[in-house]
Amino acid sequence: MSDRKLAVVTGASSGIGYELARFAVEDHYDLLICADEPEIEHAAEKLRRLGGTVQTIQVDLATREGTDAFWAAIGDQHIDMFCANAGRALGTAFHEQEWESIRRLIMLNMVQTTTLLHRVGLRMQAQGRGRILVTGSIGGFVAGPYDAVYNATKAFLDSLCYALQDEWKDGPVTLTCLMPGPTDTPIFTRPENLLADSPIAKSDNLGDVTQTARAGYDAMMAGKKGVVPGVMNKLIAMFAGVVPQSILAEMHRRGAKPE
Amino acid sequence: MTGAKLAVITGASSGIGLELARCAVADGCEIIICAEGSDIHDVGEQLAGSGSTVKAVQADLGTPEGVGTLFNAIGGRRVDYMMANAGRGRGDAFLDQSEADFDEVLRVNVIGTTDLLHRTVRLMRTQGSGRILITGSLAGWIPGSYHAVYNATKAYVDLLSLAIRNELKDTDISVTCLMPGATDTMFFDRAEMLDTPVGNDPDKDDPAMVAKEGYAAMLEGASGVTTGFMNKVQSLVSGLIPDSVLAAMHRKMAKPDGSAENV
Repeated sequence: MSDRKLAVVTGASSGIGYELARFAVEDHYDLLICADEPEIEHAAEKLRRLGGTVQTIQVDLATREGTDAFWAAIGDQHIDMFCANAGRALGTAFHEQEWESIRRLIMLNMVQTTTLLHRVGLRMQAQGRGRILVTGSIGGFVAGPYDAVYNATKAFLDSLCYALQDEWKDGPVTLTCLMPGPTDTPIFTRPENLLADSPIAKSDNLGDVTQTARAGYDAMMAGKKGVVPGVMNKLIAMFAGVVPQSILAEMHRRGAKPE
Repeated sequence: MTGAKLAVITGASSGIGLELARCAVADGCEIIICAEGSDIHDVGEQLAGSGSTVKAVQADLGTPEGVGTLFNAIGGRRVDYMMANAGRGRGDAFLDQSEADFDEVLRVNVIGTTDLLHRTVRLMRTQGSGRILITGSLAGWIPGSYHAVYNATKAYVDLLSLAIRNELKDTDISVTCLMPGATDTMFFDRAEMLDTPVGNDPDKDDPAMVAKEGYAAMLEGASGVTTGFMNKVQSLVSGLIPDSVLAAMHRKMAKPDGSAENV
């Protein structure tokens, strides 16, 4: 089993993270997956039925203790693939949100991701190879009223990815940024994300989760810098540089403001 | 000085923050200034010398206690202008930094700024009005090779500022984002970037000019202001040039040239 390869996926209990884990199993990677909910075990069961060797850990990556426990679970294993996917959203107006919810969102989407990118990046550079996929968002190009902190955290991740790609361009590690548009995942329905009452959550036009994850996975395997799945999303990403942010913010407001 | 407007300025011991404080004093405001170092008290005395009412608060806004200390100093009073300016940079390659290095940037630029804004927006909603100026950066629109976490935190700040502005558009609360380019402040020294082309560039903008433009934009309730001619050019092209090209441009400015003695 010495030629086995390990893929590490955060936020793998559902949505894009689960799909990424599934593709890794199909590509004969062993898995280490985590999420902050017991459903991670159900996900692992499904992945094992597909033939995968799956380690799981249930941790809250919004805490430093959780991040450290996750890193301890990886131990000194060789990491061939890392999908930094764990993230949450937080709807409603900024001033209506509880500070603790905002703080946890920042810790999960930004601090944890940055910390693990640093640790995994160092390890992969030492290993002499590795592939990383970060789940950013096209939300990072657009000011996001009624999900304001979320979009800003994704702007952080998108920016960080492009900077690190440049820093690492002559090295053995690839880093790919997946920038999905609104995708049909539990992000809109989890009660704590406070988006269930928004028009976007009820939209019939959400991106297909499998196609979205597939685009990210394939881009990672090809060593591409970034991928925006879907024609409409590509258009938005393109216009984000041309259309004033005030207009983009107004568009976002219409989708995200609770009804 | 009864009836004077109260302005709160964070990161006011030097640079753009100090100049914003001077703008507020010149405008007849009573001010509360805040910074992490004890020199904020000297700055306070200096600014009070012109006859203004100045309160200096020493607090680390990268901690919840620090933000609490500032709000205790405000003491439930009406805040007319909040200038959220405190921020930190950190040069060098991401993997050459320690976790503590980028943690500090995240604590101050993201968590502290967001905490301050959250409390301020809630306060101003109960007041019914107020003006907020946030020091973002042109860097937020450009991936920051060799200054990666800093630029990413400014992408966060710029976008958060614009989103909150939109949420508050039907109120008398305005949110303005000041997006300076490279400005001649203590910033590059503190970020340990004196050994980089951008750190050594003699053509950086004057912080007094940047602050003046930012202060005026805040009073107008403008959405954002980029300062300096070259910065306006950079801001214009940043939506048109691919991020990977911008990152490579940033590498040329920010990569250490090996001249610093401690590297």
